[in-house]
Amino acid sequence: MSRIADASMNSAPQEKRRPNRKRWPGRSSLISMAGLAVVLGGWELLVHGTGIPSYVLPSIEDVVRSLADGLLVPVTDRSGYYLPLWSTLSNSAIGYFIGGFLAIVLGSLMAEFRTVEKLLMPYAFALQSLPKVAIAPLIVIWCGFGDSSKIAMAALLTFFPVLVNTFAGIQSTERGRLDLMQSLSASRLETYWNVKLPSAAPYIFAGLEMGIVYALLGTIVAEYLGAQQGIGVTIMQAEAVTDVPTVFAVLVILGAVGVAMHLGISWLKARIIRW
Amino acid sequence: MTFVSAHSTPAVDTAVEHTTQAMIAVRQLRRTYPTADGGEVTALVDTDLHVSDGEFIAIVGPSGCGKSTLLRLLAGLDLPDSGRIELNGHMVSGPSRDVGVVFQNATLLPWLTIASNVSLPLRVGGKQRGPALGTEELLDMAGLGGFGAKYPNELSGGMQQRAAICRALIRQPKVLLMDEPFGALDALTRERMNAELQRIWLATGKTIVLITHSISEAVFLADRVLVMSPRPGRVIADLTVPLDRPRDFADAVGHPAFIELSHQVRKLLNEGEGK
Ligand SMILES: Nc1ncnc2c1ncn2[C@@H]1O[C@H](COP(=O)(O)OP(=O)(O)OP(=O)(O)O)[C@@H](O)[C@H]1O
Ligand SMILES: [Mg+2]
Repeated sequence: MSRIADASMNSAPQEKRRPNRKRWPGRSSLISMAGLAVVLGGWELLVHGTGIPSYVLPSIEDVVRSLADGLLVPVTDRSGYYLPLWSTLSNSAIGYFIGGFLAIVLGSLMAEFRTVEKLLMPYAFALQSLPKVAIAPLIVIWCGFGDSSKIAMAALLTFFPVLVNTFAGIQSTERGRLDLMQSLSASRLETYWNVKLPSAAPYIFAGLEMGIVYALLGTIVAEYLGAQQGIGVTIMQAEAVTDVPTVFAVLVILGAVGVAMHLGISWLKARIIRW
Repeated sequence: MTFVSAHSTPAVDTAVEHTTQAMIAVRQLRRTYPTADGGEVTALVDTDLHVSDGEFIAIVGPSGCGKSTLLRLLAGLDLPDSGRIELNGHMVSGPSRDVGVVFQNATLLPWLTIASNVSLPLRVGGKQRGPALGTEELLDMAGLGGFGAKYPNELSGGMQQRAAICRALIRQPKVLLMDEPFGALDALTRERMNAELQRIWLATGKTIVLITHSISEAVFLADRVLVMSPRPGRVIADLTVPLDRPRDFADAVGHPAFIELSHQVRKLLNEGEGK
């Protein structure tokens, strides 16, 4: 009922505004395109107008050529971007799932049991306060130069945002819903499973959205510190021979991957949280 | 109607010490809450209450007088400082399967369909499963036939509240406790819901305790209207409604007894406020 009332209250001012503000569906994507055009145009001007050497700022053509060199090859080609990208992404994904899962479990336990909260919360914050770049070498020392370091870094960086959000989400479960479950003599586990976890889902997804980008970052940092393969290695090798167009090309790919992962998790969120 | 439950629990007869027919018997109830500044606020004091099996009681009182406190105590969601509550001859020490609670905002879980919401009480709360009603039957009775597969946000406020009433009825409780169930609805919907509730009550023969701010709702629905004093709350008047059943709202409001009783309740409430 109140929803209907709200709708009728809101509709009036909106109706008045609509004629002045012409909105069409493609508007926002048009704005992004325009922004991109300005950036690219400025870039070209800078490269060709001033005499900036190409090892400082490569031209767009060079970057596009590097992109094509790395992408227009068979997937299994050793000089292409696909193998290192696969290595990085698969390790990020594994770390992301491990870190996210542990964070949801521990965040839930912390929200449910005060003793667990008292025990773990200080360490969680202490861990988060440490610069991850400083921890990374330790992890490489402990886990070696293989995939396990990358997975561990991805998990570590995913962990905190998901943990904190899970905790906050469960704690903020509506009082009325808890009263309902209590009035039904529901057990603690039943209440958690039927009410608290679903109530916390929007929070948990907010954490997972943050975490997915961190997972990728964590993996690449680990690769920087020494790994046999991965997109971080590709960047380092390109930097070592001042192949700046390749560095740019890889950064462009990483940016695109970041956006794609974010869209993926948003899609998943929209599928799961429909209320 | 097939919903009329036979109250035959042989164990009760031997356990009963007081040979009254009371479904609910409350004596000298007292509940205080601690305040932030270290003092305490007395929400309920010297409260007595006696509700017979199958009776419909309405409780009215000024805001903050302890009505919700009383209802939570009856529901076993909260414990009194002193005094005793008996339900069907048993001391209340926690939530019971004999009690169904309807909260002010429907508190349906938005991620469950209406049918799953209504049947939630059958999926939680331990193994001692009692007799249960069919979800479809209940929804039909409440005029929600065909809406079982919908989600709460697809229903109007009145429909949501009816679903909440179905949920409270599904375990076949003997007592239905309702805390301002129609407070958020507009006047017209509210009148319809009152008629619905009367119909459900006549069909099921439950004992109902209804807390409300609306004097006309109380007088229209109840066998007896109990008036509470401002905080610290206690029952200051117990008025029997002499109208025949089933009542029709339009007819009832014009009835001299209805007018007289409403006037009496209003005066009692105003006196309480004035002191
Ligand atoms: N959990 C609590 N902690 C502290 N004080 C409380 C708590 N619950 C209720 N009170 C106090 O007890 C008094 C009675 O509250 P209660 O909610 O029972 O009133 P009410 O009659 O239901 O009011 P309303 O008609 O506005 O719903 C109020 O003064 C309130 O501030
Ligand atoms: Mg209240």
